[in-house]
Amino acid sequence: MKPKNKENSFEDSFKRLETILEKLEGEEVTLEETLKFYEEGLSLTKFCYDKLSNAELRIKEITKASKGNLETKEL
Amino acid sequence: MSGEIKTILTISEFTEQIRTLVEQNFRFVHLIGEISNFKSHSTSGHYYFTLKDESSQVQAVMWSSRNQELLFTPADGMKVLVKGRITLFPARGSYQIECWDIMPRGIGEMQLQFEALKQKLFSEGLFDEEFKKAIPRFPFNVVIITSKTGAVLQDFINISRRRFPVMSLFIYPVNVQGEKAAPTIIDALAQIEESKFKFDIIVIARGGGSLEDLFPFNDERLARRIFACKIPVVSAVGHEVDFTICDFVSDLRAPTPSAAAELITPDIQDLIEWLDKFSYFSRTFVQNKISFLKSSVKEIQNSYHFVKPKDLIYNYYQRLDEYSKSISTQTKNKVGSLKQRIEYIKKTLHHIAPQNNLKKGYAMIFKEENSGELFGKEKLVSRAKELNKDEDIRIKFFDKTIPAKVK
Repeated sequence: MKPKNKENSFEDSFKRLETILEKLEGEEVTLEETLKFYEEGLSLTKFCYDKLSNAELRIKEITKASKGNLETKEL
Repeated sequence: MSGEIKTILTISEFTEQIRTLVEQNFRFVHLIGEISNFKSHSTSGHYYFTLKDESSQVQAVMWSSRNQELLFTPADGMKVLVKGRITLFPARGSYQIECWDIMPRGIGEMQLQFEALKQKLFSEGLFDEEFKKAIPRFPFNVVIITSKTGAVLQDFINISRRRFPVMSLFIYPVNVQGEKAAPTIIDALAQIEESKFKFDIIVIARGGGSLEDLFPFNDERLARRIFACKIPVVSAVGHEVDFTICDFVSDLRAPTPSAAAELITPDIQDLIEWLDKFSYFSRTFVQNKISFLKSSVKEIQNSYHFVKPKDLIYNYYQRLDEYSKSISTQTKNKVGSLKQRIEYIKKTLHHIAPQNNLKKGYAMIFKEENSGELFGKEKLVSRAKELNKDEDIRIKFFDKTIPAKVK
């Protein structure tokens, strides 16, 4: 098992989307900024959709643990 | 010392001093003992009894206002833990414990231990909000420390599967009951924390049980281990009404294991719905923005200042048209009137032309001019005195010119 950063970037992406929404809703944005936000939002939503699709809860049992080494098996 | 009158006291004064001394020093006591001589007053409902051990005894009272809250009726021979204060009864010169709470021993001690540990850790700041770690919004990797058997795990799995099925759930099986429970959970926490794998949340879960069943979760070492854990810990021990030290020290307390699953997982349907809404909103926003800007440009184009030059040009056009029209009219008129005049002059000239007069019968007389030139010019004779005798003249008629001589 390797540490992953993908999951973190889901949170970051989601947060960023919320920020973009806030900016679009709240502030005076120029057309250029709007288009930039739109493009960014488009790729972030795609990323998030991908992350949430093919949902199948993975369950693993930790069978042995010693010195931080975790052995697991699928349940 | 002798002769100091002020040391002589009345019984009441003395008793008052003792009362103050005793009552101030024993305002809150816990006593363990055996109940004997228990009486419940038939009318007032107050309890009167003696607490004793092998060698000593103390009188006890529990007012009915308090004893109504007791979940059991005390009886002789019962070993109990009582909580209360010491009061002095001046009329009899005796002291007694005024009980606030009576707990059967065992449970009573555990409760006391729990309260004491809670107080201790609280004053050390282990429960302070400032040390609570934030629970990640999107826990993709969750480890649950719990018993492999029982409904707790199954419920947790079911709820996680329903709400956030993109998660990886790791099960760390442990004993959740008995003396070994706390040490194995402590070890599990250490293994998880040291692991290379990055977990988002640790859930410590156990189903409901008696106070004794839940007692491993009131372990001081476990509490300190949870406090030290770098990964956010969610405590989900027992039912809603059960509180353990584990609950207080964790970063989040869930009333039940099922509630823990609900609390830590976002609902995937909500997330997808949010993303849908975002996509729709941002698209609409861009479209609206563009059409708004388009209409703004149009508005500017149609604004007075932009239209003015065009108007000016149109004005000039119009004036030009008017000028050219009036020029052509005036020219026409001028030419017309000139034509008329020419006609008139023509007519007049016609009337006065010599030829016409000759036609009417007039005649013209010419004579040779004395110019000495070889071919003298003829000159019209308009007066008689211009003529001399025998001068040669020529008379011009309409049809012919004839020579003649003046007589």
